[in-house]
Amino acid sequence: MVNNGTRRRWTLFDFALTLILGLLSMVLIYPVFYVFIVSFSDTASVARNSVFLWPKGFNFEAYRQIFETARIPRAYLNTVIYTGVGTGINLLMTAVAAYPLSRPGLFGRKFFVLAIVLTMFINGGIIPTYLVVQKLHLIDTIWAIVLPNAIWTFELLIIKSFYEAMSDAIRESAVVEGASEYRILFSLIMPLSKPALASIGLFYFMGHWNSYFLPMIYLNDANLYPLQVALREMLFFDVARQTGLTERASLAPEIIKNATIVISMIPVLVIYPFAQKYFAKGVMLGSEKG
Amino acid sequence: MHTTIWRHIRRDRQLLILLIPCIVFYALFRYGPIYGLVIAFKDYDLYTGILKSDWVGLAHFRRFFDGPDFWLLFKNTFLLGFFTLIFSFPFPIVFAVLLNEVRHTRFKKIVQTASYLPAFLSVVIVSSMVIDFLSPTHGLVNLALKSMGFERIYFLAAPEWFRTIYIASDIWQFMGYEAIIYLAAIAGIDPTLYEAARVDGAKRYHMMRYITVPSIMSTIFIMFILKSGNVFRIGFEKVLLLYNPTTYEVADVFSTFVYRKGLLEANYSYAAAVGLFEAIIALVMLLTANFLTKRAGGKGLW
Amino acid sequence: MAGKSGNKKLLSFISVLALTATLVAGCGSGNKDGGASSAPSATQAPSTASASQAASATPADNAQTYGDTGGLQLPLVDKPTTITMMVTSEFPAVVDSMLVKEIEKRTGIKLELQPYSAEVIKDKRKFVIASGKLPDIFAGLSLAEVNKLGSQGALAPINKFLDILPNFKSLYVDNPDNNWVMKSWSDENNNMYEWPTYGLNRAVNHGFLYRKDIFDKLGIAEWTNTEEFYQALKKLKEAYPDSYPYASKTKEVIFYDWSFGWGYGANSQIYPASYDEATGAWELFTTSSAYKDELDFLKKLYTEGLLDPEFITDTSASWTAKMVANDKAFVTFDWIGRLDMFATQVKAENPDYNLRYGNPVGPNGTIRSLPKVTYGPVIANTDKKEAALKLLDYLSSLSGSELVTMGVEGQTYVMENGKPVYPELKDMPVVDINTLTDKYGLWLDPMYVRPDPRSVYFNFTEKEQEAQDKILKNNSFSPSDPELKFTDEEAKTIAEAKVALDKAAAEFSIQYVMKKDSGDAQWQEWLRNADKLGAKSYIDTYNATQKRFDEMK
Repeated sequence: MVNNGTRRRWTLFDFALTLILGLLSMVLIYPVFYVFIVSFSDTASVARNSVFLWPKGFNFEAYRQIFETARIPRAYLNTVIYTGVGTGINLLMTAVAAYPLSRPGLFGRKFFVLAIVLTMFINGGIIPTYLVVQKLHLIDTIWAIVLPNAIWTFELLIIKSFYEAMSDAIRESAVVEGASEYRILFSLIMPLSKPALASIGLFYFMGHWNSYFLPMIYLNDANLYPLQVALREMLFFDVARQTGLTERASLAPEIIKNATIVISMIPVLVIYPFAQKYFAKGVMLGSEKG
Repeated sequence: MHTTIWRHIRRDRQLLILLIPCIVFYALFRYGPIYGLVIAFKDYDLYTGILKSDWVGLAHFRRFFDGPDFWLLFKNTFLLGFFTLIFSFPFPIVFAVLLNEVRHTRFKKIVQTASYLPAFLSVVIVSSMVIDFLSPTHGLVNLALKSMGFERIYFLAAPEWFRTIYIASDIWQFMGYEAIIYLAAIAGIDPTLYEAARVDGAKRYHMMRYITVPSIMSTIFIMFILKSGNVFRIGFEKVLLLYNPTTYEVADVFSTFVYRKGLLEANYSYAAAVGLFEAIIALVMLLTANFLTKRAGGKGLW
Repeated sequence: MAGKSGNKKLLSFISVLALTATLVAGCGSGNKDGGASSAPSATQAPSTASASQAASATPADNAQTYGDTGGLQLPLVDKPTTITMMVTSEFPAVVDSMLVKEIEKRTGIKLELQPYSAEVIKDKRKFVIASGKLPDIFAGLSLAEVNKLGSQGALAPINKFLDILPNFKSLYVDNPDNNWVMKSWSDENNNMYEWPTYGLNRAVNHGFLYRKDIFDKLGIAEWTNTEEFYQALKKLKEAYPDSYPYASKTKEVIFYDWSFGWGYGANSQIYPASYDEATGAWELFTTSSAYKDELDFLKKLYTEGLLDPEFITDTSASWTAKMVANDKAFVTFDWIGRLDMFATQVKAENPDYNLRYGNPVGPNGTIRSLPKVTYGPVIANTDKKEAALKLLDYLSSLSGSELVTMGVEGQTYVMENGKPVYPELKDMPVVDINTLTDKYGLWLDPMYVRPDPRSVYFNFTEKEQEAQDKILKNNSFSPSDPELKFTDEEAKTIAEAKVALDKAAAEFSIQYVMKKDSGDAQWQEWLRNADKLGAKSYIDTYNATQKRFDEMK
């Protein structure tokens, strides 16, 4: 990793920057932190709105209830699989498709791009799409999760724009050496686009991890449900159960809701540092040489 | 004539082959269901199905345009989307550029992760927090105002504050998430450019302005174009949670109107017609932005 | 560069591709063949031992063993039949529950349940219907959708089968209290597709709730009329000057909730149309003088600091915090479940917390009367329809009602003091309908078309019981408005006008209440505005339909 010069004295700019970003971070973090501490608090304190900087009546009750619910561990596993496979397919398809579209002389380029952009605005609607998926016999399989949204047009256009911004020199030298388009794409363009691919990979990842509606409608077998669907079902049911007739100290719904958010957040927080290294400077260094 | 086409195709055959999975995908999953568009022109019901439901032509559109609030909704939808675009667009960029200037890597990572976290919160939670934060009796903002000797403001009952609240909370929630793209673009900038500039005596500010920002201009342009395509399409959830009758005159948008209507009659066709109308306007916005961008010297979408 | 004809060629190539894809997707969508039954196993299964046992039982045996079937002969079918039913349930195990087995034993019908959780069933149902494979019995559509489906031949018209449905007949045709149902719920051709549910609602579900512990501490008696309500709030404010004694989280719905005390008698779907029993005509409630009185009263409370100033934006969490504190708010309007819910939540810290149901507020002193008959399931128009109809009829009999909502006497429960007790569940902290569904498959929506009044569903906690008694004692119910039947066109006009009128009424009402100097001038302006928005045609439609309704059989 290339450093931006040797360590210099801190300038006024650095102080101001650190102060601003530091304050900003606190404003950004606090609400999420609040969600976090509420998930470990007890019902009475939450009911009285007295939780501020630390959990009150610290307990794991919400988490215990969540993980004891039969479907949740299974749903967690499902989500991991769907997200892994799904994001892989997303990245592959997006990275590959963006390349031909980025080549200015491509036959029918304008038509293809226009047709693709158009899909961001007009679509048949959820029911016809469902019927297509049904006709293809994908219902109740992992393919219904990862195929119908294999490419997000927004992301495709972003990668295409990244490819277009790359200097021609890189490509030219490869063409001169007689490399095929396939070789150029896979050995040259894609490796050099790691930051861009990492960022859309993150978006795709988040999309899969948090997806609720599409898995809910495309899956009938509850064993195939991903995390968000199982969590929401559990929440809904739990609220329905609290008819006031139960004497046990029922947990306030907010606490469980917040716990579900924390559970959804943790894995992404773990993955994120890995993705961050692609945003380090100087990734492109050395590309034009040799 | 023929030979030129086929020659062109043959020349590009490798590229076209690479494009095949994409074509199949769009044909199957995006254009396959496209006949569903006609729902907006029919009296659709679930059972009869799309193909067999009766045609009503533009009846739904007419009903929609003739409604008493049509222009008000149009204005609100447009302004909310337009202002969201204009005001929230610069923030992720500025944030990414500033973050890039941080030299302490650990601090940088922490700030970046912190900025990304709010995107995880659901719209329900964020709205609840906003309402609480701005409460006239116990909200932090008003408590601060009171302690400084000012009058309390009932923000959420004031039409003049609605857009600000909506947009500010949007910025807060998604600035970090959207900055990721710009960070990726910045990561691709050749560091030797900075070296050369430093040697020439350039200050930090100059480097940000003349190296960082111009280098990611193409990303900025494309994001601007793509986001313009969302200007007219305001989702109903957040507005529904933040609005109330005192702010209807500013906050009521097409999607919330359709939602309230949908509670009375499950009219898929009507909702589809409104959706189609919104989409067409949004498409126009995108094309306009594309055109303007090309005029400004950038690369458009095609 | 390719010329114009080249682009045309490409275009045609692509359009062929798209067309193919469209055809592949298009054919098979929305078939109209009366909704063939779904799962492949939904065929006539070979007879099982239990089915042949049931078939050999005599009618006399049935009457004795299974209770009053209202004249139906058990078993209901002479050869084993499978019927699919889409039910709302979080428990996939219900497909093999005691209930399913018992129904097969008694009626010969094998029930194939399709359970979906409450959260997802709304959307799932849409797709099931769109795929054209209707379950034999299902529920959850609005009446308008039901009638639309029915008129296209997708559903079975119950009225054409009355001769095989003795329980339906006795409940909804011969019974003078209920025979309005067929009049109101049938479609334009007088075909009835919606099977009703009888007796699900309790007497009281919502009302004014107050902190009896605080009231007692300050020596305030519970109010018995509106003036005393006002005085009580004033005393609370004096004792706690920083509080706002009345809190609310329902935003603009507060105007609707309170309207029952000022004479409103229908429900939120019909609001603001209101039927005047005296004149037999409909009027617009939100432009009536009663509504103005209601607003004036709310305005008084607001101006004197007795009504929470953030009543139009308060969130559930914030409102809860106010209601469980001891010095923030003391009276509200909500669902009676809160009486116990809040107490349980703060029991550890505040054992004296005592939220109780209060008397109605408003000159009429009434609350909403909940209808005795509510929507239920529909039956798909397949070759199974007669069996399905008979099944629902059985479930509407006393025998079926007991089975679905209580169980099998002697096996699943025993009666003790007029209430069912479940020996297998004696270790459970509480036996509510969820426990019964879990264990036995009882109380599955939409099977409970006639809940047995002895069921645990009607076990009230002490606080809820007090609420029921209070209102029942004085019969403080606002008389119910008639349920009218509108044509498609009328329904459209009404929906358009209602959306506009509701929005304008809410905007006006809040301004009126919150602005100090609002008065008669604003009210007159509102009346003019409502007129502009189509109030007249809205009410005229109701009156015209009412006339038609009265003239019907």
